[in-house]
Amino acid sequence: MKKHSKILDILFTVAFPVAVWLLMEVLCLIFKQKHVISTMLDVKTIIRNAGIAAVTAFALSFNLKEGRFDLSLGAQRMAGTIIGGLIAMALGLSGLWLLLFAIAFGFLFGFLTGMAFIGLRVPPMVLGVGMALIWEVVPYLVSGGKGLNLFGVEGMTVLTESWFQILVVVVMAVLVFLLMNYTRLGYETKAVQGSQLIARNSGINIFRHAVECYALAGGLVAIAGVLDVSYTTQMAANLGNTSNGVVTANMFVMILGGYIGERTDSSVGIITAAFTLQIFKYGLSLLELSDPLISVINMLVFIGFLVFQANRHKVALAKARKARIALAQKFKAERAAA
Amino acid sequence: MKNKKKANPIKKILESRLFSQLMPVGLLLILVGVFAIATNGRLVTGTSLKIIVNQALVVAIVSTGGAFIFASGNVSLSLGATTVLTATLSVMIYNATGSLVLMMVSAVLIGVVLMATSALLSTALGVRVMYVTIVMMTMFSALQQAILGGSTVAIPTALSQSLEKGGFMYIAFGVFFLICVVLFHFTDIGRSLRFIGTNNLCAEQTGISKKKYLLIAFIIAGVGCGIGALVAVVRGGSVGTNTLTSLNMDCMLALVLGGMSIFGGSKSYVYSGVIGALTVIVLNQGLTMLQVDSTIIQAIRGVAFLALVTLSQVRPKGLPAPEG
Amino acid sequence: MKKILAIVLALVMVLGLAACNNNGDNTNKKHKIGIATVHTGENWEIVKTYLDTVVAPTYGWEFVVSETLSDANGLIAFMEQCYAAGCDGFINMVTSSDAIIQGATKAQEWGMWFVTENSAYVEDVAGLSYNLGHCGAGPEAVGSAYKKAFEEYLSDGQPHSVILFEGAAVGGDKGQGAASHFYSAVGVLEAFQEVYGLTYEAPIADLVNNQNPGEVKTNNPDVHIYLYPGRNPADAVTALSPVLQSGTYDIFAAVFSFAAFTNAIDEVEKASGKDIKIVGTAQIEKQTKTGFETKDSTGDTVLNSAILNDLSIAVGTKCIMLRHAFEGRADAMKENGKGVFLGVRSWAVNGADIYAKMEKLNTTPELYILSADQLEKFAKEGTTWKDLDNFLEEVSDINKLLSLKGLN
Repeated sequence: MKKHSKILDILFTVAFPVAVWLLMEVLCLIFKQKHVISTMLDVKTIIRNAGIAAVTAFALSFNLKEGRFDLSLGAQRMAGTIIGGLIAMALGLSGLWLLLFAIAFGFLFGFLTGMAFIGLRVPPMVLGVGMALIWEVVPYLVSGGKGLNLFGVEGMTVLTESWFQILVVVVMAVLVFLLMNYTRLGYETKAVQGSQLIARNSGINIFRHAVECYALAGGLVAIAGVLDVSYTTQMAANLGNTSNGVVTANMFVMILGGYIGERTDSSVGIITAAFTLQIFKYGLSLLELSDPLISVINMLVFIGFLVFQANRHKVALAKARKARIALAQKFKAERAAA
Repeated sequence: MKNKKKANPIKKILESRLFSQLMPVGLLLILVGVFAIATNGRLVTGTSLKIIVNQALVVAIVSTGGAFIFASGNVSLSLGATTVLTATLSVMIYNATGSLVLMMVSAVLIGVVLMATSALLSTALGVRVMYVTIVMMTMFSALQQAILGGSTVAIPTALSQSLEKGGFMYIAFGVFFLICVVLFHFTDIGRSLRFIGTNNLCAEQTGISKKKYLLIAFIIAGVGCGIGALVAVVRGGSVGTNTLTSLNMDCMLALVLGGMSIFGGSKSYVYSGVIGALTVIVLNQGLTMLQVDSTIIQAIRGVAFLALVTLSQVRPKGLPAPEG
Repeated sequence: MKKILAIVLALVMVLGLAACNNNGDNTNKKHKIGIATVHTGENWEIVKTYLDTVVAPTYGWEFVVSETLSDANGLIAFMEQCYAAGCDGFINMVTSSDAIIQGATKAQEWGMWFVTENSAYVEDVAGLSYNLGHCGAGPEAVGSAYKKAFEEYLSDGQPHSVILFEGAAVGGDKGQGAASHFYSAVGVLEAFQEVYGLTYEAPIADLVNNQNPGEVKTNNPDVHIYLYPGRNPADAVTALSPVLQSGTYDIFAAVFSFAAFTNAIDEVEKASGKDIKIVGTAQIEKQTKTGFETKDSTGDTVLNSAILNDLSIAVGTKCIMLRHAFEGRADAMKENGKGVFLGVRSWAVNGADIYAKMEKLNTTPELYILSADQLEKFAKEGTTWKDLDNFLEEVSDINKLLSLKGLN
């Protein structure tokens, strides 16, 4: 792998949000005579949304990078947040406790999904469809169909504070960084990403590993749920296998984060990607485009990036081929001259 | 000391092709039988059976087309979004031209173009099929919302009723299903796709072009989306931003419940979508007749789905993955 | 083998669970009513309790309630299940005109009485003998409630500006989207037009039907109106943040889910020190009470005005219509052989005091507006749809309503 200087790596990472901000700034100035970021509230909004996106992308990455697409992650988010929130409210506890309860329940639902995976051994996507149907029902029944409503509930303001949200995202990023780089889980993740079969044959307990990934993803996605509901005040207990949309919407963050993180670390990459895409989305809404149109543009950019990522090695290959031909021609010319 | 382990006869039966073929049908029949008894025969009256078939049609058609993609070891999550966008555009074409023929032809063509675009992104540009279909699922859905802007488009009620009474839905399903059976089980297309699903590398080395057959699979699935869209329009009379929102997942649920392996390969059957769609509807209908709360029905659907899928597959020694 | 046994047992458990829910009374001649709902949340739970504790024991009916539906296909599928399950009456809450047309036609085919929760009248199927018509939030009533609420705010001689979250207003006048959202937006725009003598760049209906967010151009530079159509409040909160921060707008109105915007508005109020009034469509539920009782950072109440709707009175009215049909008196619920439209009037509530009295509604079986006594009274022979309409008109007056329920 090509080695770059650390300064270049940092510049590469920072270039993404800066370039997108510049692009949107120009577009907003031309079409609406407005700046993308004018006030501290704009910064707060972007931080909050980027935080939610980043935490969701972390959760997605635990399983997806190993080839397991968990379609029940959205239902785990809903179940963890609503049940954790209702318990904290019933006990009259503060927002911090709500967050902790939500993480615990998200972790529990993720753990149970993981246990179902290693117990039933049906493919992850199939398992996800079934588990989503089941998990969606749990918060519906627990809340009596009402979902979670934090409107006017005292003690929840801490959850909407920017410093708290930044703290949560940074703590998550540091934890994920430590987990992925300095623990057995990280070592096993890299092995399973390479080949699950070889990892198993080399003595890695892939069953325990899968359960750990599912549980961690469940806990993380519940954090995203809490950050979300703390601002919009309510989370409906939706049925009908429709809960996963909020999770898949952050797949672009995960994949772009993986690319940016190649030069630094995937945790840094995901956070940078989350900021980049939130600035982009915020800029588009300043241009007064409708929600569906913003979504279409986002997806077009995502496809463009996927195409780039799938073909970027071809440029290097073409360069190498060109160099090889040039070398051969030079050698041939030298021999002819001799 | 015996070196050879005695072959487990139950395992042998479970792993047999016949078992994998008959299991989903058997489970469907058991479900029908149980609910027929529980509802004092109300589930198996002529009207009830007709209703079950009618409700299963859209999912059955779209997932029958989708079976070609699944057979190759790929998963498409955008079948539902493609169908709904196709339905929207074809109804708009009808409303602009007043031509039923044009609506039908355009539905199939739009379905094919949308699915072929997804395929080309993968085959020509090298993007993973799963990622392409996830992006397409979101994009087609957003595109439909952008086009409709929250409103709905409809064909005249008289037209949808006359098409329904004229048996259009059954004819469309029958013709498409028969063609798919022939293509899947009696031509190179089906064989090659199953081969690719069984062993992608081996298939390529024997001269089977993965790109070509994947494109063909998406095109057939596109035809399914087009016909499914027409049937949905005839049944519902209209298309809006909330139309068939769960179709993406319903198709996957139906295919897997009908016995299709998510990894594709030799144990893929084109009728999986039909059996699976009927199983889901029988479960819904039976439970509704028993006046089970709609929330509980969803949970039962989830538990039954996982139980039936587990029962109809051979439990791998490791964790499920294409490599084993 | 163990695995198979385990799974077979799981299946038996699932089916057993299903069987446990079976009342087993298949020979029962009770009327069975299918209800296709689009609602969720606290408000819908209140209606479910009303159906179970008031309507079912009063009329001796059973209800088959759908999961949350959203379109004609879902409606037809659920209707088919209900028909197969023996339902002879149906309450439809899927409001697009095409869903109503398809549903009413199916109901006619099966001889199932059909009544719809909707704010717009669908003429195409009004003549079908099994279609009893509509009962829902009266669009003009919602519109005029909004107009009235805004006229009060705007009549102080100062220039005011509003951000309006329009929800599903687009297409609401054409049997698409939500008619009540459409007419709410129209009410707001009309109030601005009349109070400030504004001239809009296009007819009001066209402005409301524009699916892109943006400011409405007017001839008065001191008055600004920003329309945001969209069904997802979470997206709208982010998109509207810079608009709120502009400092131009001093009123925010939401045709649903006003609470989702309260944190965003509070942040702006804190940053600017300026109060932004909130007007929202709401129901008689805890959230509305909280809105009226909670103070924001400027010391004003979070919710300033509510356009209140009550779903249980609309559902109760439809049940009365079905009851007459079952008793062979469907004609009494029709006008010239056609299904009628009964509009439930909204209440414009401008403060916590009035709401404190209204919040007691729906809390006990006697405090539903259409309690068991009312259901019995209006189900008697000789009652016509006009009597129901008169009753709805009578209770549209908050004082009369409170007197009727002994809450004054």
